[in-house]
Amino acid sequence: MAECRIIQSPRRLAGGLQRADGKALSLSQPLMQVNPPVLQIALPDTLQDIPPERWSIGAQIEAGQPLFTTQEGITQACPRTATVESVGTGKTLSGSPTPCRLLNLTVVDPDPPRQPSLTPLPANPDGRTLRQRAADAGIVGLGGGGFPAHLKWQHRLHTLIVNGAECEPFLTADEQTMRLRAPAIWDAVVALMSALSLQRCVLVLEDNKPEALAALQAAYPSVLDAQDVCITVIQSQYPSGAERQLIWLALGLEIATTTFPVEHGIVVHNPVTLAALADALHGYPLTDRIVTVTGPSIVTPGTFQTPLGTPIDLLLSQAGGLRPGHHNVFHGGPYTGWPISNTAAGVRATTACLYAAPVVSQTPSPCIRCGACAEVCPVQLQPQQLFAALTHDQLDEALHVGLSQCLECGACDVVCPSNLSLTKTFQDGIRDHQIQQSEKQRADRARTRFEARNQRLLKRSEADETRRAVRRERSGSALDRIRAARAEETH
Amino acid sequence: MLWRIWAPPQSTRAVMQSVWIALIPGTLTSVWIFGPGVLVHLVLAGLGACLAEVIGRRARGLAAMQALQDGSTLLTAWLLALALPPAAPLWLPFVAGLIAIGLGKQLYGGLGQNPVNPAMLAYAILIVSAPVAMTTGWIVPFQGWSTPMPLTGIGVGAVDGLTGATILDLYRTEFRELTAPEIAQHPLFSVGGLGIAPGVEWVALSHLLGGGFLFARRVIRWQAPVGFLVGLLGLAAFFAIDPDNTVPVLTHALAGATLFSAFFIVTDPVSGATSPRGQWWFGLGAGVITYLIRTYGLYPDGVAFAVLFMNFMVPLIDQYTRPRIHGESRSIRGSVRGRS
Repeated sequence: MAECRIIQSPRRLAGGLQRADGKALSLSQPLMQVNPPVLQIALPDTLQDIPPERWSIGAQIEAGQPLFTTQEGITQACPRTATVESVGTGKTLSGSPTPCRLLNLTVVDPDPPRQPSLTPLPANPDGRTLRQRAADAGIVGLGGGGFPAHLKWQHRLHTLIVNGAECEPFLTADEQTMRLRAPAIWDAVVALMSALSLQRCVLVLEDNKPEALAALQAAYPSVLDAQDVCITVIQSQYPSGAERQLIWLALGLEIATTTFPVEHGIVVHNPVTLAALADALHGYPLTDRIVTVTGPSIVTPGTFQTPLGTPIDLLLSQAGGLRPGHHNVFHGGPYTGWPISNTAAGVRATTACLYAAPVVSQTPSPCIRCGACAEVCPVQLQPQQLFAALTHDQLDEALHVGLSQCLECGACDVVCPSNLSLTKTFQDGIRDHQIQQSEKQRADRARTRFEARNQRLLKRSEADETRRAVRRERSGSALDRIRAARAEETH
Repeated sequence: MLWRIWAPPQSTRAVMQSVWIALIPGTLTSVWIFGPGVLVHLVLAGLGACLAEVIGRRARGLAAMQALQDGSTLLTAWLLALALPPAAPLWLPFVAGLIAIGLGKQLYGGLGQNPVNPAMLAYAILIVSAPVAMTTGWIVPFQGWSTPMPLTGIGVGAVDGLTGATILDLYRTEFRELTAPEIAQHPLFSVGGLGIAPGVEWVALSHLLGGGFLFARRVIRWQAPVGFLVGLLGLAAFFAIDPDNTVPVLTHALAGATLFSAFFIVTDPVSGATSPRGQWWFGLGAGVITYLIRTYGLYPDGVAFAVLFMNFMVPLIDQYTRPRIHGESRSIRGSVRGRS
C-alpha cells in the first residue's frame, strides 16, 4: 500500500484573514448533474469577427465535436449534442458595454459524451503530445484564471504544485473534486511528471479539508513512490491559494510580481484542472465543469457538474433559486467575485463559484489610517497609503509604493472600519496605469516613426545635395576645360 | 452584550466608541480626585467641539449632523477635557473645543485629514496664549469636591491654597533646592496615594486599565505606547543616577499626562504613523521629546509639543518604515516625488 508523505508547512502568510469558511454550506449536498435544455456559449474576444455563416442554423453538432479554436490554440468542444439555434450578439456576464458574440444551442441529447471524441493517450505521453492534447481538449486554468495549460508547459519546468488550498470562504469546487476524483488528479500528476520530466510535485491543502486529504491519500498510486511527491498541509488562511503566496507556503520561495512562476520552473494547477486533464488523456475534451452555487441567499447550496454554457439562471434554479428579497449574484467567491449583471448568460470555464448574498448598502466614511488593511495584506502593502495616493490623483506615487503588486484579494475591504472600496480603487488605478502604458507605447511608436521619417528625409536631401554638388563640380570643371580650350584657341 | 464590547470594532463609529469606553475609568477617577469640575469641562469642551464641527461642515457645504455620528468629535473633546486643569476657568474648555475641531480638524477637511492631533493642537495653542489659566487651575488632590468652581480667570488666584501646581511643577520650582529625602517629607505626599504623584497616580493607573482594554480589543497596537514609555522612562531611568536633581522614574510614569498620552494620544491613528514599525518610532520620538521638555523646557509637561512635533515627522516616518513587500528584496523607501 503506497503512502504519500504529508508535510506540515512551517510557514504562514504575513497578513491574511482567518474567517468562518462557510464551505459546509455547499458540501452538505452530493454533487449533482445539471442537464440544461439550452446552452449559450460566448465566443472569446479574439474570435469576435468570426462570420455567422461559420455555423449554419439548425445544424446538429455532436457532443465533443470542436466548436471553434482560439488564437492560443484552445479548442472548445460542444458540451452536448445540440442544434444551432442562433448566432448573435448579446450582453456578457459582467454586462460590459461591448457586446459579445454568442452561440445559442438547443440541446438534443442531455447526456454527456459517452464515446471519447479524441484518441485516448497512453499513461506516459511525451511532452509534445500532452501539450497538443491539452490544447485540443480545451484545458484552461479552471481555478479562475482561465490561462491555457499547454502554454505554461512550454517553459523549462521542474516542480508541479497542485493548488488544493481553495482558501476563499464558500468555495468548494476544488475540495469536492479532490474528494470525488482523487484517482484522476493523481493520473494527471503521473502524466505531467513524466511528460514534462518534472523533479517533484507538491500537493498543497489547507488544514480544513481532512476528507479531501484522506481521499488523496487513499488514491495515491504506487507509481509515484519513486518520485519526489508530497502533500503539504498549510494553515487555513485567506489568501493562501494565491499563486505566489502558495509557492512561498509550499517551497519557501518568494517570487516577485515582475516574473512568472513558470519562469522559475514552477507550474501551478488546480485539482479541477488536473481532473479535466485526466479526462482529456482518456479522450474526453472539456465539456463540463464543477460549479459551487452557494451563499446566504441560495435556498439549497451545493456543487453542480455543469455543462459549459448552461445559463446562470438555470443553474441558480437547480440550487433552489434565490431567497425573496434583493440579492447580488457574484461570479466567484465573496471576496474576489464580481457581480453578474446578465444572469441569462452561460457558465464559462472559469466559473468556479456562483455566490449570492443580500444587497447591503454601506456608506463609506473617511480613512482614519487605522492600519487594519495593512495588517491583513498578504503582500505587506500599505493599502491606506495606496488609497491616499490614488484618491489624490498620484498614480506615480501609488505605483512607487507597490500598486502593481496588489493581488486584488479583497482582504483589506473586509476589515476596513470605514467601509472603503479599497480593492476597487486599486483595480481602477492598475487599469489607468495600463491605459497610460499602452498610450505611451503608441506615442513612442508614433515618435519613432516620425523620427525615422525625418531621418529618411534628411538623408535623402543630403544625398541630393551631394549629388548636386558633384554635378556642379563636374559641370564646373567642364566649363573650365572649355574656357581653357577657348583661351588656347585665342592665343 | 459583553461579546460585542470585546469583539474587534467593525466600523469607525465602533472604533471611537471603544475609546469612549476606555476613557470611562480614568474619567471617573478624575472626578473622584478633582471634583465635578471635570464633568463640567467635559460638557463645555463637547459643546465647543460640536459647534466648530457644525460650523465647519456647513462652511464646507456638507450635512452638519452626520459627522457627529461617528463619535470622533466628542472623543476629541473628551480627551481635551481630561488634559485641561480641572479648576481652569469655564471659558477655557469651550474655547479649547472650538480650537481643536475648528483649527485642528475642520480647517484641514474633517475626519481623517488632520495632520496633527486636534486635542494637542488646542492644548499647545492655549498654553502659549493663556499660560496662567492653563497652569494654575490644578486642584489639590482629593479636595475637588470642596473647591468652588471658578467662573472666570480672575477667580483662580482668589481660591489659592485650594488650587495649586502639579507635582511636575513642584519638581521644577520648590523641589529644586531639596534632596530626595527632603522631597519625600513634603506634606503633599501625605494626602493619600502611593507617595509618587499624589492623587494623579490613581488617574494614571485608571488610564492604564482603559489602555489595556483598547489593546485587548485590538483598537491600538503596542508599538506606540511602548515606544513612548521607553523613550520617556528610559531617559528618566538613565538620569535617575542623580536622584537629588532629577524627577524619579515612577513620578515621570505616573504624574502628568504620561499614561494618558501613551494610550490615548500617541495612539491616534489619523495623525500618527501608520505602520507598526513607524508607530514605534513615533512613540519613541514623542517620549524622548517629552522628557527633554519636562527637564529642560519652559513648560511643566511637554506631551502636547512632543506629539505635535512628531505629527509633523509622520510623513517622513511613513515613507521609511514600510514593511518589505512579498517577493521584493528590500522595502520601498521615500516618495516618488522626493527622488525626482
